[in-house]
Amino acid sequence: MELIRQNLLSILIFLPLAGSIAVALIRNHRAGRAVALGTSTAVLVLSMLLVIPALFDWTHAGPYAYEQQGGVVQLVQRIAWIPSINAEYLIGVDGLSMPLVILSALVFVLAIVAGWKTDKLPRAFFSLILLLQCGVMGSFLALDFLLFFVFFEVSLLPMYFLIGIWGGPRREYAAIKFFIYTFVGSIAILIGLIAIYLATNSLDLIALPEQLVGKFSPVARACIFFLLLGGFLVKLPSFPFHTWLPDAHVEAPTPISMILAAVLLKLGGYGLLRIAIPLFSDCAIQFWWVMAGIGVFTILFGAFCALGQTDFKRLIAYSSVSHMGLVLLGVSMMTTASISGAIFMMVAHGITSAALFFIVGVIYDRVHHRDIARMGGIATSMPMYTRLSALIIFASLGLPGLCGFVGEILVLMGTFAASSYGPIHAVAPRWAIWMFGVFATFGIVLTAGYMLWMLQRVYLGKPASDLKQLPEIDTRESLVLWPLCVLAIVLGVLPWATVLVFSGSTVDALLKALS
Amino acid sequence: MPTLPILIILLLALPLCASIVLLIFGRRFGEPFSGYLGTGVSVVTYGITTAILVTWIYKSAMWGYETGPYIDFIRWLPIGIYAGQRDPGFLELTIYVDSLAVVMVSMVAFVSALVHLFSLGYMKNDPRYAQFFCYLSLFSFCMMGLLISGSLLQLLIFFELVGLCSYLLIGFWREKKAASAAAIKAFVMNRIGDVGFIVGLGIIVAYFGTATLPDLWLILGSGAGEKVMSYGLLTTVGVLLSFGAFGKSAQFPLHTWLPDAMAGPTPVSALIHAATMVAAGVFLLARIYPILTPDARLFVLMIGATTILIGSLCALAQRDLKKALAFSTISQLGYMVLAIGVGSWTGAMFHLLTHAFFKALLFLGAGNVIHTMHHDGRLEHFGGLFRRMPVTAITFAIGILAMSGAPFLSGFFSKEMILAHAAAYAGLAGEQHRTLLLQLALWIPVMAAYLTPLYLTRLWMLTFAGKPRKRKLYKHAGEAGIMSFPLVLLAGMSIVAGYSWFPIQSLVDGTIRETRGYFHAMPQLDPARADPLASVWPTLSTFTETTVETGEVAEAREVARSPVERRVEQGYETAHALTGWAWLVGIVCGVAVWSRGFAVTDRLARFAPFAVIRHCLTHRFYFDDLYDLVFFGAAQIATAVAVAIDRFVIDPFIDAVAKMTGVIGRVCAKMDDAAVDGVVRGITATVWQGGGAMRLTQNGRIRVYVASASAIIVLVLVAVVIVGLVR
Amino acid sequence: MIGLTHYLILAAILFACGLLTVLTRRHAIGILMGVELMLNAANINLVAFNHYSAGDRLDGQIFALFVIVIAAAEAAVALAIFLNFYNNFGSVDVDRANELKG
Repeated sequence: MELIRQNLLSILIFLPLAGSIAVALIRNHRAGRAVALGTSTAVLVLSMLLVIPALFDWTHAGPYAYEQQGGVVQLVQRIAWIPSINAEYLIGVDGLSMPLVILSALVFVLAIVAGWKTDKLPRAFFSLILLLQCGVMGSFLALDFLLFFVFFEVSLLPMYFLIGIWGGPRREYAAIKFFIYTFVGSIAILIGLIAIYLATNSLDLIALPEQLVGKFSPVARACIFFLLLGGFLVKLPSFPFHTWLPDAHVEAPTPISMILAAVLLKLGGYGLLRIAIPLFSDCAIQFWWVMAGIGVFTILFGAFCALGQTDFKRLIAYSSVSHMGLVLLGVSMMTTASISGAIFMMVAHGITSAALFFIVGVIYDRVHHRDIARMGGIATSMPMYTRLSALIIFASLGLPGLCGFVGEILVLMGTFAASSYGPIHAVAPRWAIWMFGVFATFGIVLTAGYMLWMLQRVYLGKPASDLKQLPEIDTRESLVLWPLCVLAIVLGVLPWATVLVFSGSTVDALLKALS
Repeated sequence: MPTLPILIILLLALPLCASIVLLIFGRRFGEPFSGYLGTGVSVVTYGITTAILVTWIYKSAMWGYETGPYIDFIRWLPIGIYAGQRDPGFLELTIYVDSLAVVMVSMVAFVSALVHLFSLGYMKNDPRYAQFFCYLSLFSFCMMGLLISGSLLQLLIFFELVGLCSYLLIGFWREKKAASAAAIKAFVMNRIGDVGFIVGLGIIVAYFGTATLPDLWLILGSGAGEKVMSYGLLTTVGVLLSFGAFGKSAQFPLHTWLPDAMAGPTPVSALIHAATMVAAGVFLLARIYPILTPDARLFVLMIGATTILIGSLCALAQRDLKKALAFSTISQLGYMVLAIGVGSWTGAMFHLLTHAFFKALLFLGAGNVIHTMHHDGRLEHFGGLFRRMPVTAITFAIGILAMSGAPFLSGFFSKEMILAHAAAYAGLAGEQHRTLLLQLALWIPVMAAYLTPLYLTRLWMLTFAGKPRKRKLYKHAGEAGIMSFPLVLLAGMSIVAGYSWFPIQSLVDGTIRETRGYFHAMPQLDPARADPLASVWPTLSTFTETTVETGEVAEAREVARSPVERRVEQGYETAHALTGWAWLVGIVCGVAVWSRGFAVTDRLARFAPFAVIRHCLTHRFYFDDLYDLVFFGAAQIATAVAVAIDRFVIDPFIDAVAKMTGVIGRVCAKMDDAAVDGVVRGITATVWQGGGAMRLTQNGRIRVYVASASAIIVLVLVAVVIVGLVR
Repeated sequence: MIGLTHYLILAAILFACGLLTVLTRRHAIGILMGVELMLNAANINLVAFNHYSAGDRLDGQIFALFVIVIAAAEAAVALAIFLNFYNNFGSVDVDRANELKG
């Protein structure tokens, strides 16, 4: 038990890798996907161990924690990796990464179930998904900048193939667009990484904020900050780096869309909170208006774009863009509420977007198109599916009692609170912060607008003749939807017990470091 | 009192559980049983609220109202570490029970139970019978949660949740496109109001670090608020918060959703869109009353007055029974909002409670009519129904009398109170030589007092009197017992609810006394602006009880209050004089004009100006078209622009970058081919050709080799010799 | 008085004759004979230089003897090559031996 506990994080990272290799080596398709499901389930179960308070203390530093700047980083493993450049195999988990780790573990299980019936090269498909999981887990758990970067890149490549091979008609265009966008972002991050390494001779993300103090000239700091910011904004994605997302989503198969929206986008927000903001807190405070401006504009822009879509999946992709704008706004405001809200929003969006993309997949499997104009009246033939979809749609548009609301209201409250508390209020006039808050708040009207409009056109009304006899969702599909729906409610009702209790101390530490 | 929290939790849990059970097993339970379950739970809920009411009255009788409200907190959202807070750093969920909450909860449970009962008949044979009761139960839960909220955040939460129920129930007949469109309209317009509310909430949280109402009242009341927040900002916050109420209560800029919401089933219109949910906006205004500055209240007053005007005028010309009632609801809500604006806190709450009964009565009566007419609500198709449905007609008439303010019915008391306070407000404003516009605070409600009986009588005459205009429908008309019973009960309540012995007025008054500290907080905020218009107008019943207080405090208060008292008494006199017979005038006029159906008005419509006015009123002053044009148009333009930016700016840019990369790549390839490779190839070619040339010498002839070797040796020797000689 | 110069002139004439023979003859045996002439011219030089410049040492004569021995060996090897050549080409015309042409 103690051995597992000490190596838990490494297991979380490398178990999927082992699974991936195993799936690739097994001859039998059925056995292969069973192994894939088993692996991801094992990862989920192991990641759930992180929740157990007896094992891991989230409110105070536990015996295996090492505290720096008050941050509670736990289960740290530190092994020399490339000694010549001081790169280490340094992993650990804190309140920022822990909810995201569990979220991704869950989403991968559900995605594998969602992709259970993949016919085309199934073993390669599942093998790549597991490889992707390895990259994602590694990115969330790495505390060494280079290690993070490596895992970040590892997660990029399987995605390229998953879209490029299993995607829709324009898959190659989408895959290459995805790859190029993300790769350009990665290059920006890499340049930042090298600059930071050259200045400090260190890559330890926990120690770097202190080591970086007074290292560059202000202009150079700003340049590096914007490089990192740009790199993560591509991944988030936010305006104007967002156009890869709708294309990638529309072409990607359902399980890949789920992973892409629910997990990969979170790498952007996570990167901002883990790297860009703590390392260059002075720039983040100085240029808060850039981030907040982009965030608010992304909220409104994404919402308006979603209003104009006729493709079901594209609409949801744009809703993701809009929601990620809220995450960016929350990150930029740097108050307890706003950063907690951003973290919560990431988790909540992970749940709702995974469910929404799965919902689209379900309907696509039945009618083989995604044109909203040709849908309608699905509620008549698929009542249970409609109920679950409506729940998720309301969760996504931020109805209280469901998970979307908590993230939204925390970010908005945090935004307004930034005019009195936290590092921003010292550098910015009140009215400016409020204007951002007001515009962001208008986003919720637009969100309600496009979500309900979609609900009306797809589910309500009289069914067309070809939509009258659709089969209700089967057991496998329910298995994917139900956990997400239950989570949407549980997170919405108990935000403190499910997410914020874990992230609280980390957010406090982060803010203490910022001010 | 340990029983109270248990009762409150039961009150919330029962309807919620019922709705969950119905959601999951509803289909299996089938038609009658799921309805019985929902109704049974609603009746039990009403029993619980009665228990709460009794407990509360007992407690108040024992210890007086000064014991204050019952408050309980749960920490919910962390927002950081702020000063001046009981539980630092959290937004809280609260159970906040005062007399107002108690009486509101009872009213909601009562109307809800009756509407459930009515729905058993109304929704018979509907394919989604169970779902309907599920939504109703869910609504009961949300409404109860709203009423016991003691924090702005929780108010927002339940505002949105009742909005959800409203959305689900308006769009209940999802096959009708108009219904789902109206549902979206309702939800989105409410959200527009909520934007204001959230912004206001955000500013409050930013300044005070809490959203809990008693905390806010205390901060503002102690004068601490003055130090951190300017008067102007506090006014702005008040206005922003009120926008949430305006959305929910269908007030002026956001009123257009309510008439459309009538696309839902009529019991829903009675419960949600007449009696309870729309009144929640006014309830919100009552809760944030101590935060509203005099100027913010002036704004509220103007909104209320405008809404009264729009609502009562449009109600005159609606062609649809339910839409006419919807406009009457709008105008009555306007009354309440105006009452908040003039400082008649008690009047607003009192009218809210009495209005709930007679408006629910009118809607259920209308539902009875519409049900028997096969879901046709057009007034042109009614007429002469009195003989077919006498109970409905009589109870409807009672509702009309109550709402018109006929003496000895509940509406008389509540309306009179508002009018009296409005008159007092106007009188005070006149004395202080404020702008004459403030006099409208009196004159608009007075005008509406005449219009209300007029349009209500129009509805009754067109529906129940005269000759049937649609024979085929008329023949099958009739009323069912289960649907008439709630009407009778509601008619009874409409009669008695206003009397002072009935536990409505006393509890509303009691609320003021429970929270007296908060309600006199505002004038202290800014002494320079200390404004008599800002205080709460006392009701007549409070005058008599002030004598209970003894000592200097009482005397001081007596001295301070006596002019106010006098003013209120004068107000009552003015109201009597102006509107004492308004109900009769209105009804007589209504009977005179509409006794022969549309004949009189149609003849009048031959005059062009009248036709224009009628057209204008029927089309609700074209607000819907205006909003469609402006906001929908703006949204469409913004959408088109956003999509175009994506499609025609960013994507082409990215594609162009990709293409440029390709072009550059090809150019680079050419360069490679020509320049770098050329050099390399040139070297090899030279070497190759040189080799070819050298190859000629290697002809394999030994004599040539020997000859050339000799010749070279000779040449070398000659060279050596020559060099030697030259040296 | 006959001196070193005379020997050298004789050797040069002999060498030139040998060289001329090698260059002009196409018959292999003739070329071999020309080579012998040139070797002997060298021998004359060796002996003459020894006589006139080395005193009582006999290095030059010994070198000359070595050259004679090697010439014999060379002749043996050459004749063997020629025999083989003749077997392959049916003649000993060296102009036909151009197989190593580059």
